[in-house]
Amino acid sequence: MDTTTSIPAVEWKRGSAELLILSLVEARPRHGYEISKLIEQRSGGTIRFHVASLYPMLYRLERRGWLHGRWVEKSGQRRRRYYRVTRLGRRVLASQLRGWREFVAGINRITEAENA
Amino acid sequence: MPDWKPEILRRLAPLKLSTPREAEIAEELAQHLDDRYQELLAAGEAEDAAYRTSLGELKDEDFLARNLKRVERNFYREPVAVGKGSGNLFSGIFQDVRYALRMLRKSPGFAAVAILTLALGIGANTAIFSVVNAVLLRALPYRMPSQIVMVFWSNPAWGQDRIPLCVADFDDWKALNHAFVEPTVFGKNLYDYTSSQEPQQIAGAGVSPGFFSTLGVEPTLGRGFLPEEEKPGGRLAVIVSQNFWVHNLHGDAQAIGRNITLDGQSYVVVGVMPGSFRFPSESVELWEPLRLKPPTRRGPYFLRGLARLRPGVSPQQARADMAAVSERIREETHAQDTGGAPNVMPL
Repeated sequence: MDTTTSIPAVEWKRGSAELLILSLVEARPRHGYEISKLIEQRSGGTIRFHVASLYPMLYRLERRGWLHGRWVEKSGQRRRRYYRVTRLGRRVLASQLRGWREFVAGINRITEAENA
Repeated sequence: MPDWKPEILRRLAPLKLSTPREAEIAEELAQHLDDRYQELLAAGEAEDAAYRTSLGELKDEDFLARNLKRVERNFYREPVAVGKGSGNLFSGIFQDVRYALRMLRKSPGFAAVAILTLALGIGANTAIFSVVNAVLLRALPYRMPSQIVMVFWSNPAWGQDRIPLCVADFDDWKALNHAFVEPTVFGKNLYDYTSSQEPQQIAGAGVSPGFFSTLGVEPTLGRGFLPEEEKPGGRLAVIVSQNFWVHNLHGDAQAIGRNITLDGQSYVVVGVMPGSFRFPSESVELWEPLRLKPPTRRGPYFLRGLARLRPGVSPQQARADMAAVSERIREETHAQDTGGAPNVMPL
């Protein structure tokens, strides 16, 4: 659920979703619910993805070969689908992080200059 | 715990995904909704409120399908109208195969194990079926094979149940027989076949009169043995296998009546057996008459009995009938009873 339905916020969320997901599974494989909770918690509730948004994104990243999903069955638990980043996904993540930081730095430079 | 799958499947239905893919997505999304539902209950929400909030994760009726449409388009299954020849009968199969291949490519380890397991399973099944087919399923190429039996001596004290017969045994068997149509015997042999090419050693069998008629087979080319050819001193005649005829006589129909040299002696080829006939073993390529002379003693023991049961006679009854032969032998030879007995075995 979006904290705001303004068009810019939706676009920012859509554009950063892939970056967020890749970042979260870079450290270790995670399942979809865990990914959604981490996004919500670490963003302080400002970013949240519904089931109907999150999983299509996960499947899209899987089709591109950036993520690899695998069903894992642990003792005493139902099987869950865990996603881990692939080698290609790591390269994409690194590229997107560079781009994102440059973008944010550029925005900051412009806004700080205008509002100084 | 609510069952989320019906709601999820209903929203996935417009995508017409393959059944396995649809089930996989439904299972994963249902787990997420279960976790969300449990989280809300733990936070103190009432069950119905938690249910509505969790279900709200699926958004509008067509939201999930819209978001999945482009991602899952490779898994679309074209509609097949029941009763109509749409021409797309295999399109769903191709899509499922492509999906399977894609999943296997992503899991090379699993793919390797799966392929190896399939290969081992297919290989084992093929091997087992080959044996079962040869031993149990494939019909023997003889007339009423269930009525044909092999006859041996057996002696449990010696640990043997296929002791050959001698000529004298065969004569007694024929004289005292009540259970069989016509007792016959055969003995295996190796022949040195000499031709224009390199000499070969060919497996063959000497057979007594009535051998082929007992089995209910006859040559596909030429004829069987004539009575004069089956008597001691008669013309040396031979019937060959189809394999021998093809490889050594060039499959020539004019080979009938031609002479070949076996063990330095000239034999006239009188017949060619069907390709399916390989008795008493796969390696046997030649058959000649035994031309047995009246025995002067008991032995040597080199013959194997072959006979067709009379109608209504069982192998057990035939075994009892053969016991009379055994008793005659003991009387004649004044031999002590060593525990031997006739052994009648289905073919």
